[in-house]
Amino acid sequence: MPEILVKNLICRYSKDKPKVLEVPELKLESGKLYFVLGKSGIGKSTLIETLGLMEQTFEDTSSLTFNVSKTSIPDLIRLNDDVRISEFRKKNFAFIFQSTNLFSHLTLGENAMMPCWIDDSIEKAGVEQIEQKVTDLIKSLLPNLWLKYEDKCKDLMITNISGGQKQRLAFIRALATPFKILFGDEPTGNLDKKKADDLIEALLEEIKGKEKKLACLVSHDIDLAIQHADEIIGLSESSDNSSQMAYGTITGENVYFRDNKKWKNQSGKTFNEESLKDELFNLLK
Amino acid sequence: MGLYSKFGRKEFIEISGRKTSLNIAAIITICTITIFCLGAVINIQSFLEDKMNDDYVKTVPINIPISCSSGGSFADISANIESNLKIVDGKGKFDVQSVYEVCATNLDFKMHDKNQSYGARVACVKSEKDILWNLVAKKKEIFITPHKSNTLFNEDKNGSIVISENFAKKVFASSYDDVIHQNIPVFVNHDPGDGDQFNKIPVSAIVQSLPLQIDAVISNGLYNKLKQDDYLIPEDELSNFEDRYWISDSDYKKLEQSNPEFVSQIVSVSSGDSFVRGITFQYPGSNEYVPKGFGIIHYLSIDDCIDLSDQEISNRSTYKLITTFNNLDSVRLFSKYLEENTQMLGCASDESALIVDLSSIESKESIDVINGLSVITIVALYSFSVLLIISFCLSIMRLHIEKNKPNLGTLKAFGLSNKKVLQLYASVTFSFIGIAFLFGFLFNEILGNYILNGILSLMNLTTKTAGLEFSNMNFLLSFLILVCIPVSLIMMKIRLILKSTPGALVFQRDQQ
Repeated sequence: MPEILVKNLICRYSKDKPKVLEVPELKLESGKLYFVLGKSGIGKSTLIETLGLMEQTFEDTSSLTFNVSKTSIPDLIRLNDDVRISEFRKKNFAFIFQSTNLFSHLTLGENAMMPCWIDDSIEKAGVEQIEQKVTDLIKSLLPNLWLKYEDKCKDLMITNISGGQKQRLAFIRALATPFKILFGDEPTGNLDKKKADDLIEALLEEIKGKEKKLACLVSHDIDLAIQHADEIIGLSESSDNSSQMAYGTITGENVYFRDNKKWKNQSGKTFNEESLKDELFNLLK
Repeated sequence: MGLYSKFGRKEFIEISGRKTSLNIAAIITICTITIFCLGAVINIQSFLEDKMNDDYVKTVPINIPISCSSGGSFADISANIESNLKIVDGKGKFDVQSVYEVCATNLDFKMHDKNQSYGARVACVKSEKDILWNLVAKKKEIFITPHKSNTLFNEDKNGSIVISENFAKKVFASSYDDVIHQNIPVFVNHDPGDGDQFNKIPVSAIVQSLPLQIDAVISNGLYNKLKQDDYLIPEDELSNFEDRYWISDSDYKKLEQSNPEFVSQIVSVSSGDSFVRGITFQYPGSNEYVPKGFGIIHYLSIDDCIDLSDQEISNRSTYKLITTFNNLDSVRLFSKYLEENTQMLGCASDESALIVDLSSIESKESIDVINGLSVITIVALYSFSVLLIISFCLSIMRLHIEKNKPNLGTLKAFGLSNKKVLQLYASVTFSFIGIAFLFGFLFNEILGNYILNGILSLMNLTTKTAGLEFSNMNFLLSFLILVCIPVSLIMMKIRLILKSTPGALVFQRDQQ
């Protein structure tokens, strides 16, 4: 059973506003890395926000099903049960934002440990384990800082590190979180290819480990998606016949999955890396 | 736990103004000044209330003029008033606590080496249970007896006298300061007219003021002894005093006209010494200028040479009735009642109306106005301070939250519920205002009294009996108003901000 099942999802930011996204069907499974590609303003972030329960954009709550949830998320949303929705997000979700959203008055280590502070159910051993994980991630993803300061780099203020380092720290914070589903909104936008590759490698290691997890990243980087994604979800533009207002949509032709060394869409069409790149390039135009 | 202990602490430091701590310094200043002003106003208000609730103040004297006695005796009139008061009181018209009769008489006092005497209204008290004595004893006394205790009723040792500070300053003049330390007695002329008898009475206490325009209080026993002229006993320690006659210039001139015979007698005795500066007296028939053996000072005044008629002597006494009211508000009504019922109460005519001393009521009414103003001041000050604290803290918190909206959205995205965010910021805001309140309170608790008294003394408003105590301030009420209300209102504002979805906060999207 898919981890997230989307059916007939229609997203609007308010009832009186036009439709911004329509997803007839989408299945996201554990152990896989999904890349969402599409041109600017097509609704990529809306999709992430909707799936991450950050914004209640959907008209019909039954259009979204989470396998990880023992409770009915649509019911919680309908009831506007903030405590239980928050609890669900805390136990299952992690986020990486392009603007990092790190706390400027906290240190590097404190920012990385923030999810542990939020989840007060994590016991001391768990906290120590996360602390160790943060250290390991700093060593591998922020090697320069580690080499210079070693463990003391955790005491550095956020204001004292570069934009790229902040981006990687946001990645570390998300990976340190005991998540089941990770959403990233252009998490590698400010990084060069090598560093972006390193981050995605670390992410893959996490989601394909003993405990299978799911990651869904919004990106404009076609190469990165083709190199690392298990599935690429392309958002194309559609428009309403009556209002003529454009909105993003996901069709079977625009969902590509890896098939050995080739790629296929849900209609069965096969692509090699080059042809997929062209296809996605056209989608992003 | 880390959320409150680590993140909350960091948020607190950030909101306090990080390195400069300007915000926390500002809120501490606001709280300290507010608490001081509130404490001062509440203190002054309660001080005024205490003053007005004092039996001393609530005692209203009723003068029964001498002309009233033609319609009946003083005792009859006072009995009439008392019974009428009770009847009316029974109807609930006047809130009278007690009625007490006091007879005050005029006596002349002087100090042994002074040539001028002063008339004083002297009231007699029967015992320590006497209402008048209770009124006196409540006041802070300056005991000047060797044992620093009251000897008023020690009649076996000839008793003593309690005098008011004003009168003491008049009698002792420049020697006043010495009196307090040296136990100097006063001399009272207990037999004006024929012979004059100035007898020595120890001063047991000087009190700041006495009720009913009384200058001095003595015991009934002492008064009787004085009148029977068996009070004075020679005392060895004063044997070096010379008996002298003293006379003032003005009195001497009058005396020359009214009683030239008496003057010539003195002149012959004094061998031409100046009358004005005082002359040594030699008793008639004696060749010696030796003192009599104890320090009687014979004082000569115009009164000594004039035989006062009985009527004049009576006029020197004023008969008084003291009524102690539970509530001073009914005194004006009572005064009007007395005015309308003069004849019924036993006075001969309307002209001789009973006079109720309304000075206490006027003071009370003035204090009521001040009290009213102080209540308005307190309410205004509270409201202003609360508004100031709320607007100041709210703007700090709003700025901080506006600045950190995306981060707040991130916290929510990672699973921090609105309830937890509210609890977190409630604890931060509570600590922020609570610390300022606590600091302000402790500062005022320790230094408030000194500052208040310093300000009062700068304004020449200190009184010896003021006793303003800063701890009087209502801590709990102030805490509720200055801390709990602002925290609650700030929480309501944060709750509104938190209604936004995590996405709206992260991407700073207008929810509408």
